[in-house]
Amino acid sequence: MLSQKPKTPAGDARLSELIRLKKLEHPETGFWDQFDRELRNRQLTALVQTRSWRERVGATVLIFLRKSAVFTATASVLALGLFTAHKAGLFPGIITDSKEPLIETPVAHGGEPLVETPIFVVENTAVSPSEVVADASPDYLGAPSYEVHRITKQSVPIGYRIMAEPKQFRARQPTTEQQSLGAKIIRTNNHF
Amino acid sequence: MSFTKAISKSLVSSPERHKEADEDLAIVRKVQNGDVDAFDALILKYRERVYSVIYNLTSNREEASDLTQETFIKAFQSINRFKGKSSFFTWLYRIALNTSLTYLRKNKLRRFFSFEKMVDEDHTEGFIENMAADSDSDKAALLSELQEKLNDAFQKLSVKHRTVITLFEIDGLSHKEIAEIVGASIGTVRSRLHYAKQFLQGELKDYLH
Repeated sequence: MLSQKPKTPAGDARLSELIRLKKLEHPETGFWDQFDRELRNRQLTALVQTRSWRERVGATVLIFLRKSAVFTATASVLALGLFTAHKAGLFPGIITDSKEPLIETPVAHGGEPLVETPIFVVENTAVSPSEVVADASPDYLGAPSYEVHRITKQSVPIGYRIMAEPKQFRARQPTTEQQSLGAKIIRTNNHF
Repeated sequence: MSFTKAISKSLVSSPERHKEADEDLAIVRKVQNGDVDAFDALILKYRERVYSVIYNLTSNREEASDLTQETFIKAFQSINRFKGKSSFFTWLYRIALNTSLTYLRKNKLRRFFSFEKMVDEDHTEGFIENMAADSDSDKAALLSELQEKLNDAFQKLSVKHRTVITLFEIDGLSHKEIAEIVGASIGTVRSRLHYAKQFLQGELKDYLH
């Protein structure tokens, strides 16, 4: 702690004398001979190890790259963050492209996809027999109509987001072979 | 101000000092023109002073030796960049100070102290004799005790304060020269010096009667 004792000229002079006693701390005899020898060796080593202009340019470029790498990494992280936030819909003013298949935008995080395997809900949208008759195409006649809702769950920073993407199709196969579409049918009804 | 101190301070801005700076510059020009052996004269001239400053900052004689060598090697390697805007010794001291500060920063958590032996000299005889007469200790024991107390007190000072007190009291530089070396204003140097002295007065009050 700092002493609050007021200084006096006499005390100041005596303190100076006391501090200057440190001048009496001398290296031992022979110290400077050894010092000179070691310094000479180090000087020679430093001269030999003087770098060529190529090495200097290389070192400068390396320093520049190291410094710019920090900015590049920061910009990348920022861009990735903005992209993720954009995809997660955290910016309400920005309309995401609805044509883009959401299931095809997995964001890898720790090796695990954020978009889970889709499940399908198939809705039988079979039209009434009178309407079917109205379509004269051979494929259409007698084929049941289905609407598949591909439902996926995407992890977003604040929870989950369910995405449903309806697909209309008409099955040519018999109703009992719906599994062959590659979809796991968990429910069929008219009230999806 | 004591007589010795007054003499020391008057030398700072004396014509001798300017002459000395001119001589140094002439040697530096020789080295810059390819006469590398001329640098030995500068080593011989300043090695003890540079060592003393670094030693008092680091309180480690082995490291002080190593850092003094490093200082001269750095000075030698960058001598072509010395333009003579300041005196050579100011430039050299700045290198020594930066080298020491880098060392102290790197070894903040694992510092070892090793001190030189304090060798009594004629010009302190009166001072030590008087102190010894006032106490029961003999001269050698008192000197040893004083060294320990002084070094303890020095180590308690921050590096900034230790630097100015070393350059001012031990090396005898002026406020202006210290300001140039440490890169601070003269006012800052005075303020640091005042604080450092006040602190040391408190730490060494038993020896200041």
